[in-house]
Amino acid sequence: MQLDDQSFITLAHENKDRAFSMLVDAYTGLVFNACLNTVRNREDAEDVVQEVFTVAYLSLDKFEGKSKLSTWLYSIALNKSKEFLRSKTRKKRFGIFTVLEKEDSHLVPEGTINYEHPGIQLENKERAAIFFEAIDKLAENQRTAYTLHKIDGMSYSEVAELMGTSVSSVESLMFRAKKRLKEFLSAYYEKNEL
Amino acid sequence: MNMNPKEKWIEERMNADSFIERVAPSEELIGRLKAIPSLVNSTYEKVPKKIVWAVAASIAILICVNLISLNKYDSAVKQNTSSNEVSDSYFSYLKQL
Repeated sequence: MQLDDQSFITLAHENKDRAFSMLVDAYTGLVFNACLNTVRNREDAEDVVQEVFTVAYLSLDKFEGKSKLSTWLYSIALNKSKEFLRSKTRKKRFGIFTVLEKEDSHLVPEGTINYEHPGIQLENKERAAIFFEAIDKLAENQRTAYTLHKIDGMSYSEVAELMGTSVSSVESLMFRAKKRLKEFLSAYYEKNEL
Repeated sequence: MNMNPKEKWIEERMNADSFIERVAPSEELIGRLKAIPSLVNSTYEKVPKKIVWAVAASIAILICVNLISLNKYDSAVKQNTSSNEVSDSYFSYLKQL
């Protein structure tokens, strides 16, 4: 059964657990794919999704319907995914120092996060690897806007609502993101003489 | 639109939606998510509220008793030093002898 946001708020006040169960049924797919496209690994994405829904359950009473339920969940997912990536990068940096202290081994290149994205077919792995490398070069807000629009399939107005900005700002972010991606991919093409 | 091989190559890599498919979450994950309410509630209800309040009240009482005794000790010390000063000045001539 699909509920509109207002009926959901009423249900959440009457029976929180039932409302939460409906939330899980309706939005797990959306939240899971959003996390997966940011952390790019099934196990990590599942852990982040669990965190997202725990936060959602704990703050269900505070949801007043000012934004859409999907937008609310999406913003939690986005924050938790970024938090996860930050902690992973921190651990990686710390790991490099530990290795250097122990032995003079070669450095692990920065920003290499192993990905096991289950939504990418084997024949597209190379294409996806280059895309992820390129997208990781973008500024954070450009990357967020591009991922939300191009991978998660959101409209500009949905991206704007989620990022707390205007549609024109999103258009500008997308323009700059596309320009930078083209520059990076062009350089990659030239460098590798494809 | 006619594109040269380089432009085509770039375009193919930029259209992420053409090679990243949506993935269905596993049943196991949904099960884990559905268990969140019982998990959260059991964590929160481990310590009964009465006990939490009793501990808070005991700490508050302990702090009050300490403050009162500290206050009394302070005034007792002051009183003691002032009485010493009086006796010292009264008998000071004896010390001169």
